[in-house]
Amino acid sequence: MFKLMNKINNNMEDTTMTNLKNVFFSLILSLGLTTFATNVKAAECGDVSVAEMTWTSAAVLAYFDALVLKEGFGCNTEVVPGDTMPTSISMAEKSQPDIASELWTNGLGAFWKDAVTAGKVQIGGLSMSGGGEAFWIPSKMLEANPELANIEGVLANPQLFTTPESSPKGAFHGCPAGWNCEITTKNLFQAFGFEEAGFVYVDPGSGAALGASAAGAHDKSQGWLGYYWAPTSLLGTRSFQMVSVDPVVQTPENWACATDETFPGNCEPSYWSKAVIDVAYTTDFANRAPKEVLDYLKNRTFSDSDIGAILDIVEAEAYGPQEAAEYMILERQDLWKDKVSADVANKIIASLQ
Amino acid sequence: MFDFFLTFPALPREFLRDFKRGIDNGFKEFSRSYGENIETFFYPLMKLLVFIERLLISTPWPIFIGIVSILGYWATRSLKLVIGIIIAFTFIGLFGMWEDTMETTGIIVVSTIVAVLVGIPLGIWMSKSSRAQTVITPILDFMQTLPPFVYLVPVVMLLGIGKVPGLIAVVIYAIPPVVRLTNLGIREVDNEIIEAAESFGATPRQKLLKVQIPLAMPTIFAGINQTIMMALAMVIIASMIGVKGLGLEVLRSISNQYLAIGLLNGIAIVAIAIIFDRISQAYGKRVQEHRKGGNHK
Repeated sequence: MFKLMNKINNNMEDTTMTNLKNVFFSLILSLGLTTFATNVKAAECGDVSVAEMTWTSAAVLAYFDALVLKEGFGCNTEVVPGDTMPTSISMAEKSQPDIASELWTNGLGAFWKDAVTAGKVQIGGLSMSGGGEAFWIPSKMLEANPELANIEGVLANPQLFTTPESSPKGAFHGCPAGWNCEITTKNLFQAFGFEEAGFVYVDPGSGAALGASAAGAHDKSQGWLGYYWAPTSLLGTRSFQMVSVDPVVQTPENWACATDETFPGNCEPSYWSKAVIDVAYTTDFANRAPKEVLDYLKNRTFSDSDIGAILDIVEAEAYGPQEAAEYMILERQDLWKDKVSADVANKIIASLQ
Repeated sequence: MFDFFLTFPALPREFLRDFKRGIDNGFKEFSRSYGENIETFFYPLMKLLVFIERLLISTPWPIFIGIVSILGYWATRSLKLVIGIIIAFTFIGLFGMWEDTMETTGIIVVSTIVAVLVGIPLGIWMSKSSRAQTVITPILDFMQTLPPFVYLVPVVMLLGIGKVPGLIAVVIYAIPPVVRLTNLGIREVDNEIIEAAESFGATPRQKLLKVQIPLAMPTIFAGINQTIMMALAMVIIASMIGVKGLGLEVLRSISNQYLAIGLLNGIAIVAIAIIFDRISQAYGKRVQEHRKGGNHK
């Protein structure tokens, strides 16, 4: 019996506790780093930990920022693993890691606003100027059924979205259990009347499964409807279309209902507004970092379509995040060169040649 | 000169890129051409899963507890276990976890059935052919240690989110013990007994069905018991590809730091695990005692 409990325990840790583990891991890593503070190169800027999130664009941006800080500003940077919730909580509570390169702040709870108000964390600039969450369908479906571009057309055609398990109903792929968007997605599923229209809510369980099911349906030219977000390599490399909800717009009232975690069940239709994707860093870091580093973090903005293009290359060339960051620095100088001084830019480019 | 020894000479980057892309595109091609057929192939299994789950959920709870208690008493002859079963299910019901527990039980039952139906013949084959054993053993090691998401993502791409990919994941992880122990049990049967059977003119078929398998029963049951336990351990991984049940609640609670919900659902998993464990273990032991020819209880 003991063996069995151990087994269950191990599995829980292996899978669902990864997020927490990541926090510990990043804490330990950054603690370890502080002991190496004798590095001459790092005399001015010091040790900096940058959180790498679990999705590609954030990983690339983390490595990009780390490279720029290291080669351009002489920081002793380290990329540490993280994820939206554990990293933001850890930044608010423990001031670690120092920088989150791509943090989706409008999805975070009250604790984040409190931490910003209390001055524990600071927002740099917009990490990305577009992108966001929405319902998506494969673009191929639109060719045969142009009415699917709008949510009314989708609601009228559940038979185009069936899976063997949901049949005869349509499958609506929601947001993975435990993610912030799960609440919104479930409330919107109710608000738009998907169930009455003949859809079932499918909980994908994890981001990997959600992405794999969307990719699989796209590759097999099958119907698919569900929650996803841009920029992602999935949406950068496979052609998906955002379902428009025109004329529904987000208001404070209908959004409060859509984000109500008690699932009131009587929400008015609402939709995600444009995502707020920030560069965030801890006040701890802001106090010890040189001004030009902070200036860079405040100015560093990309558009979601530029990042989508990068992700496309990343997948096509099978780049890892480090290689992708190097690619951005060498081949896409148009994207970042004006964000730093010419001197710094030359240092960064020279370091990679 | 020393560089060669300090950095492992990796294959050229272009080759690696083409290699990875080749595999990815090959898989895309494969799922494009065979995805539908594979879905159809697994359709009956999905129907079975849905049927058993509906059956478990629609069974009135007193009848369900009654059946499990009778099963428990029949296997162990222990009133303590019966009381334990009643307490465990009352706890599960009172804390509103009945339906999730039934979903979890459903997938455990079906995956155990599949694992036994596939695993015991495999184990028998391994015991008959040493060549089969040399081939299958490393495959079993592979199945037990490969990180689940490595094969789960392609499976989800092929079959979508839901019960069947979950079932495949659970079976892949849980089948090795029943295969290994069936093989072991049959190989362990005393050679003299086999010779005796042969001298009575037993055909290979009779030898297998009337001598070896019955004598190997306790070991096979230990394997089935381990398989059930491993299947339960996989519940949370399975929930990560959309299998409903207790695992999904654990997943949700942990990502939101709802400690109480996580603990309750975790305890519920442990409770079913203990019940399954005790029943299958006791049954295995009873088979053994029966074989010893002692007093039949």
